[in-house]
Amino acid sequence: MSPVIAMFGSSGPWPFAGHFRGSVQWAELTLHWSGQLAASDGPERAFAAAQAVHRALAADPPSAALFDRPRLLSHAFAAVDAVPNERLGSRAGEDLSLLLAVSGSQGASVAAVGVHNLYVADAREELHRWVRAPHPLLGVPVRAAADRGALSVERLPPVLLAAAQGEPGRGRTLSEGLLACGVR
Amino acid sequence: MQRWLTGDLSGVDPRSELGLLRDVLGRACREGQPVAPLVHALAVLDPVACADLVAGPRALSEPSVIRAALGVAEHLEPILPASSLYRRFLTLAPSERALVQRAALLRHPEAVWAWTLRPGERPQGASALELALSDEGETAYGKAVALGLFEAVAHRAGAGEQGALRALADGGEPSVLGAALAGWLDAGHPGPVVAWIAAWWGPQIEPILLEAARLIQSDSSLQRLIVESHATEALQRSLTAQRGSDSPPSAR
Repeated sequence: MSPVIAMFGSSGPWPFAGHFRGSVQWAELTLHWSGQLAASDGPERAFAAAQAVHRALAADPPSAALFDRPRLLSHAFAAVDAVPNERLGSRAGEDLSLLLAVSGSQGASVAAVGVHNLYVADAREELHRWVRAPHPLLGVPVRAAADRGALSVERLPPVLLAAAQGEPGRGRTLSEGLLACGVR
Repeated sequence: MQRWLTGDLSGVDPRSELGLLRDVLGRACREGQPVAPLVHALAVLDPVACADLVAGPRALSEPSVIRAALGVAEHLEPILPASSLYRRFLTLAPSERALVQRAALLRHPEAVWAWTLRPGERPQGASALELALSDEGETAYGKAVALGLFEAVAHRAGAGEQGALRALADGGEPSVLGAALAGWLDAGHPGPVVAWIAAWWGPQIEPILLEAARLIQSDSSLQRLIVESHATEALQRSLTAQRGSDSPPSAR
């Protein structure tokens, strides 16, 4: 079963403004992503910005990245960086929060920018923090390309929920968390 | 007996004089005299007798009596099940349907029976919904969705009610939201409706878009859907192919 990679919505009138989520499988590797940006621009501009990033992530990577998790992650970040600033909302993408994961038969890698916390569910379907701050995955500034590390794991958790910078994670249980992430 | 009509029931034993009370009430109705003071006084003095008089087997089919009875519903509901009471009022005075439905919804906004008090020929829940909206505004949409009255809320969304769309996004299903989106686009209502839905529902709106494409009536609506959704070429093809399809899009 494909893992669920998602990001918490906000409690405002447009909880998922600027949110995007998807996955694409290439060769042996699958790239998963979830993120948000430009929420303060209102739903219309935020949606356009989100679609621009979503389409960049879904575009075909170079063949050299198809079998190499770190390369595929680097390619994904580069694809987002290549989206023109004017298409990324009024803050030109500075408010981007993005969780990326690459999974394959040899393991998985996770990277993030603009993410404050990550949550997984335990056997009782209660949410817990996956990593504790300070951690290389948490609080990475969007534009600090050199600081973008990746956490390698044997396999991705079945569910990995991200709280964007400035947004608290919501929900104590898995079902509450998924709903708060717009996973229906 | 004229003093009874002013609400003075001193010395009256309602249960033994029920026939007489019925006669007085009937005559007052024929003569156009107010009956509310008598009904109110009786409800306080003997709610059982009052319930028998206004909703029992021999109750008068008089609109003015039902209007008066609605004013003392709090005394009557402990005597008769509320759903039966309001349905009986509808039977006795069909012309007072709007008042009866409004009273039922105001007193029992969470009850399914109150939302479905309707004449059989009307769309499901639509009349009750319209009545509730006049008093409760957009919060009524959320209640209606919670009660499963999707069709009525989708109808209002298709009529351009943004609050109805929001309620469906919060608690509805992709198929219903897709139908509401199609209605919105076909009616030519303004606004970035796809972006709104994404901002309420969450980022994965493809099933909603596909269902909307299936139900959309005009080419211009489909084009607007494609433009507003920033559809990729693959999604454009899917949306175009889905239009007019007999079967709903498969679950994803």
